[in-house]
Amino acid sequence: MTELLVVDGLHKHFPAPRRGVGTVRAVDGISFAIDAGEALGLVGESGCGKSTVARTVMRLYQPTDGRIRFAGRDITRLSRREMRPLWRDMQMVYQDPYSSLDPRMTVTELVGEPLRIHRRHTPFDRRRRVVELLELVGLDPTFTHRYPHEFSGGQRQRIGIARALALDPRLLILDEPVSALDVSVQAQVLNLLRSVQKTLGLAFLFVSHDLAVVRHVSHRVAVMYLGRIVEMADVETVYSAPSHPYTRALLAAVPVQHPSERGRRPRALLDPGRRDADEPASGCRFRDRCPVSTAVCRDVDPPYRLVGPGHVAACHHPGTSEPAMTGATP
Amino acid sequence: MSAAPRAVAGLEPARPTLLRVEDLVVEFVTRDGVVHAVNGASFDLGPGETLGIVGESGSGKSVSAMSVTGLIPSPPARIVRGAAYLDGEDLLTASSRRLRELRGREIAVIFQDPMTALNPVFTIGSQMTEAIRVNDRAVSRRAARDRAADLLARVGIPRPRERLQQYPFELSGGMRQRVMIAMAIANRPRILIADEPTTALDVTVQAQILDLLALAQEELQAATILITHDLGVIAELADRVAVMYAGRVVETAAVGDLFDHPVHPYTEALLASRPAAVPDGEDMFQIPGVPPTPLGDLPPGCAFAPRCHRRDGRARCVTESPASWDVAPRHRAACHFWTEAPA
Repeated sequence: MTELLVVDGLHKHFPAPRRGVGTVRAVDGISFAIDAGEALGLVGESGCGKSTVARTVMRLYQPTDGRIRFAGRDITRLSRREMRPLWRDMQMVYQDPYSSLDPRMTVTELVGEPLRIHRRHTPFDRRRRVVELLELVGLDPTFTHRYPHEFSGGQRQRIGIARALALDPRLLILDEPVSALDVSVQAQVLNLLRSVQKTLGLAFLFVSHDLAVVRHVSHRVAVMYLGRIVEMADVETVYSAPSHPYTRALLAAVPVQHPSERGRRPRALLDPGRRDADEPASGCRFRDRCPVSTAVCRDVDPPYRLVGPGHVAACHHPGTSEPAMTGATP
Repeated sequence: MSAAPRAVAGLEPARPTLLRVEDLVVEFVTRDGVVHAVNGASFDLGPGETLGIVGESGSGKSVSAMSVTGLIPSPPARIVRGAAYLDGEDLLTASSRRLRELRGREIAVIFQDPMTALNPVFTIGSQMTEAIRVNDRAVSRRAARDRAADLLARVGIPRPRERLQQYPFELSGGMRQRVMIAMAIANRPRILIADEPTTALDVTVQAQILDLLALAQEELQAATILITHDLGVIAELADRVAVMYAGRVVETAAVGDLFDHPVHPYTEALLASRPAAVPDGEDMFQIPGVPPTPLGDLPPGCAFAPRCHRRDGRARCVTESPASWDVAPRHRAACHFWTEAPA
């Protein structure tokens, strides 16, 4: 496999909103790679920086530090103008299908817009391509003259996906693509995404807070906490043999699937007195909430270590089974 | 059908009922027309019981539960039909003064977004003491403050005395929801209504709040209506479940029966379409189409018919609205062809 996207030591800092001094280190040293045709899930809680990663990789934000390589080319410092031809190959799907589509444009215009901007087709070919795209995402091609408000949330997200696919991209960056949808509609859109990923051989960077959703779409999963990836492995490993105590806490917090499993979820996982924003000044950033932290965690920021084949975790005390969690059970 | 099943219309349940909602119809009059939010919903709540009301956005789950509190503004809302009895007292015809009294004492509400329910310009302490003293003027300010601190400690808030001095914006989302729960249990209500109490929260915080709700309930023995779109939250907390679709309760059952033997095709499909219901790497079961919009005239027949996998082209589903059938003891479903449900 060839590496399509390589992110190396990426930082994105913002000026602190109120205090005026200092910075918010939204993304604080992140490295990962995505192969052509591979789906990487990026999962974490609100404020962990996962959406900032998506936008910085897309180069909607200027990285503070680190490097981004796409299709063998260093794109870290490219200007907007230099990025434009590359955006054909990397497209973004947003969370909110209500605000991300121009309400004054018809479906044909919306889906055809990228083709027009990048001057790919004659007007006739463009119309044909729009119909083809609508069929691909499961929308009735006779709807071409309707406006976004005439569609449901799920259908709008299909329009957003058709638009993103218009230029045959190689990488799709999806930021919470099903979070705004009704439960009964989520499955439709997830099945669609899985099918286009497979049939078109697309690479995905799939950003979500929802562990069940990420599991379903991803080959590999990276777990973020306070601006860092704390664990990364193939999807089976992350869900069945998580190594980092944060990943284990996250998985254990998911509500049970059946009432007979009640009580299986350990209670009082993490100290409720802590806010994620209270970042420790030194050592491991998870240590104050961590059930297995020791003195070394206070002093030394844990480096990544290989805990299994293709499985990295940034923890001084990586585990392979449950001990950390049973320790927290009353 | 040889067993001749009974269609049930408002049949008296054979166990004590604290709250009973019967055939509730609520409309909203808007500029675009009439929104049919609730179209004949019935459910009941026993003492100490947790009833989960599950449905998608627009299914009427919040409106049907909130209409018993008098918190649905009218206009634009209009209660067209139905009744809601709390210990025999009709809440839908009660005066707003009486409803206010009930809300302070008998019925407490926990909202999805505590930021909108808490007043941003008052400290946590002043809001809590006010809530305590409004019900019992005999309590001194100092005693009410002690009680507030004690309540905060009970919902797992560290350093409660300091928190009393703080304003809502100084707390995290999870902490604010804990404050809401502390205020809700302050007057030991008999009925707790929790409207999507964990939807705005991160998963690790959600787990803490779910545990806290379970503990609060154990301690209070309050009957609870838990409104949610999340079957996982139902699996964690509910004793019984009412599934709503397009303003109607399409199925009610004990939580175990509902998960093991769903009878209504919508319930069956909803359970099957959860990502966790299929192995990794397989397509999920998907319900075709979209939920109906509650705006405009209601079509005759079953609202789920256009999306139903059981319908099989039968005309009855689109011509005749299905009655609610007793499909098993304490298990009802509104489907003409409920006998075809998988065993």
